[in-house]
Amino acid sequence: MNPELDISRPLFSQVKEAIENDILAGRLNADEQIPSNSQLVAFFGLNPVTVHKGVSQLTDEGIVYKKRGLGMFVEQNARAILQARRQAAFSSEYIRPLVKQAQTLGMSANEVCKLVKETWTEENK
Amino acid sequence: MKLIPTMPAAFELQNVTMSYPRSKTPALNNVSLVVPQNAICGLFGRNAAGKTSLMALLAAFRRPTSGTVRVFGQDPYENPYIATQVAFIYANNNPNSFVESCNNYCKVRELLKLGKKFRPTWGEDFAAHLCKRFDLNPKKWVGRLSLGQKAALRCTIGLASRAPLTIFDEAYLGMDAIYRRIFVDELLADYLRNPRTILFSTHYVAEMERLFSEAIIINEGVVLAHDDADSLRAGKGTQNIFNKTSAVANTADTTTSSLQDIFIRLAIKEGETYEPANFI
Repeated sequence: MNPELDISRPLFSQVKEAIENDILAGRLNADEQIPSNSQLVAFFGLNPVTVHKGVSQLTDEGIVYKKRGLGMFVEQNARAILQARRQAAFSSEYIRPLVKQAQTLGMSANEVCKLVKETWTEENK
Repeated sequence: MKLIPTMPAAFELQNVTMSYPRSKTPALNNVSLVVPQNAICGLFGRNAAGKTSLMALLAAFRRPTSGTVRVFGQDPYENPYIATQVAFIYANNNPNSFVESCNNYCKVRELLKLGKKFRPTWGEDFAAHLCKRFDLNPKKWVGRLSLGQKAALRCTIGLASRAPLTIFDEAYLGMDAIYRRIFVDELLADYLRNPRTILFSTHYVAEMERLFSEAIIINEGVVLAHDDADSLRAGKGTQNIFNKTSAVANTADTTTSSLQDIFIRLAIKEGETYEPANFI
């Protein structure tokens, strides 16, 4: 079964994000080969043009590099670049909605901080 | 984004008008289109929009009343070379359908043998593989197949033809959800092995959303939009006769709509509504 894609966002950027997520999570390490375009086409059930667009943007951004005749591989500093980029967006994408929701529910900043700390320890176990 | 073909376009229509005898309005009205080779192109339009007429021109089943049609740079009409390069797979209700005319004369296996005879690009092993995936019994008479099985047979012929221009006109109507999924998977897998141009008309736009690299939306014989699928979803550069551009183009760069929504926005008639009926 093909994974769900969010139709309200460009499809090629979701291909790109899927590979980025694997790099961030350590499932794809530096100089490791990423899935081939054919594998991505089969995995997403997407047309090759859209898949190619996603992968070539990763190349342009210095996340992956091409070895002629072999395929695409993860750049040395890919993980660091992605971490920096995602951290920059962390506040607007995660913290702001969290704060907004907490305010709607009438929670205090201290309560939220306490919950964050508790969840943090649970996840670290 | 303007697509600039580097090799001869798969097909090109220039100011094409086509009228049927005794019909007041033309089926196609001054249509100009260029589709590059190896595109997987969706053709969307409302009922009687002119989809099949457009496809029939490319397959040289009909001639334009005026304007020029070029397939791989040549006039397809009575052109023996182009005939081998184009496969046209009908919807199941088409009385001209070759598969329909074979009902009591041949078995699945024999029909596939004909494909091998007529198609220089025919994939014999691929046809056998597709029969297995669609659970088609090669020994069965064509007339004994169910509606969905006949559709699967037509799709098998269309895919195994590997024709440089393959046209599917509502070809999979009647196939169940699982067979439709198999059809799309096999199409993409074989496309990667043997890239070719695919023109695909369907009313199930949402289900086929991911398949298309570009899409054409036509209505009442006029092209409302034609672009690569991502640009269409982003609402860039869509224009149409009713000047509904603003409704689509206002969307920010980062948000996209489904091709189905774009299609509905563009093809809906003035005053027509597609909101759910009010039950109060």
